Amino acid sequence: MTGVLAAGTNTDSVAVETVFWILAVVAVAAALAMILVRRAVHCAIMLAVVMLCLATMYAMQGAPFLAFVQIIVYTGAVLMLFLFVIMLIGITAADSIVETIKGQRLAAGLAAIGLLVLLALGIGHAAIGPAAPPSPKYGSGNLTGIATLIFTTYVFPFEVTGALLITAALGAMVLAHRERIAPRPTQRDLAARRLASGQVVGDPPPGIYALHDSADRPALLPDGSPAASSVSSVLNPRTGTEPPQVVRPGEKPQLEAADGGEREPAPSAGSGRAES
Amino acid sequence: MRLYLPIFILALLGFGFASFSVFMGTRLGPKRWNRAKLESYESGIEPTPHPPGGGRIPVKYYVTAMLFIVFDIEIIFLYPWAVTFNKLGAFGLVEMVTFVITVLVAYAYVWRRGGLEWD
Repeated sequence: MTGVLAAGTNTDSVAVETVFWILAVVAVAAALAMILVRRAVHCAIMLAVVMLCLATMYAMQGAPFLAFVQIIVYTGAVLMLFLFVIMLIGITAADSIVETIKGQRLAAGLAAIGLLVLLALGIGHAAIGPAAPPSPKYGSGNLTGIATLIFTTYVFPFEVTGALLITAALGAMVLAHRERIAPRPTQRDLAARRLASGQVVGDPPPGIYALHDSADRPALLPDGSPAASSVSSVLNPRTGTEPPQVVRPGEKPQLEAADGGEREPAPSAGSGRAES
Repeated sequence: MRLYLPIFILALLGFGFASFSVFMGTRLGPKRWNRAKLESYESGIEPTPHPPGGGRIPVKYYVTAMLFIVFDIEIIFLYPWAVTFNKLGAFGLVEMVTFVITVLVAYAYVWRRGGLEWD
């Protein structure tokens, strides 16, 4: 291991090794936390930590290009897409014991054993056998090396990559884009439609007088019933609304002590009332 | 390793600022815990066990994600190009402009077809 790591000069090698061991501990701890943590968002953050540790290790071993690819593509793009998916779909922290894919556990077990064998072979080979030479062709300037290769020898494949990227975008459009058939209604059209429908004022935003201000919690009407029009039609309106709690100034709100749940006092409905 | 010293200091600064902010937030901010505070995205859509409409989710996001990845890969090529720009000279510039224009074709296509509209 140390022979592979000590790519720099002697003064650097100690620092490189120290940072490697620190990063190794952090990366393994974060990877374990990613599996054990309950919330999907925390999982994604832990995955980001693992990826950043990997990027730093690449940089330490004299591979700056790989390090920046790891940060830009994996941490910057792929992981952000994970976070967007978590935000859009919404995932609960509840575990499901049902196997959704048939034979998933068996396959996962086999893959784990295979990975373990591969790791043992790789590490064993590096520890016992002669370590592979750290590619002396380009040395520490491998970024210049890769640039020279891409932009002189492999110009044509590089330019064809542009066509590949076009294909990817086109494929995404074909698969996921729904063509708009009617012209998009303008603001004027929308205003005219609203006036024609008889409702002059706008829809109430979600969460007004409710105990939650989330986008799928309907606003409460003056009588305490939920206003269906306050939630966007693409969302599932969340039912189970409690009537708003009236709290007069200087009065302590009644807290629900049962499940340690919603402790925030409801917004004061009678703000105009004076304290007696 | 000297090369990475500025990046290291910057990372340290970022980490320090983040932890300072979180620490001061716990010291100075009011603490009124409720269920909303513990959610993945406070004030966002509450996580639902099943997506609305019986397990289907809109796939509109896919176009945005794919475009994001496409331009990310373009950035990857820009990085070694920028480092060796002086060495490559005018040839490199022409190469990269050709590549960027090629990728912009995809952008123009998606844009004109309305793939960037979220509705």
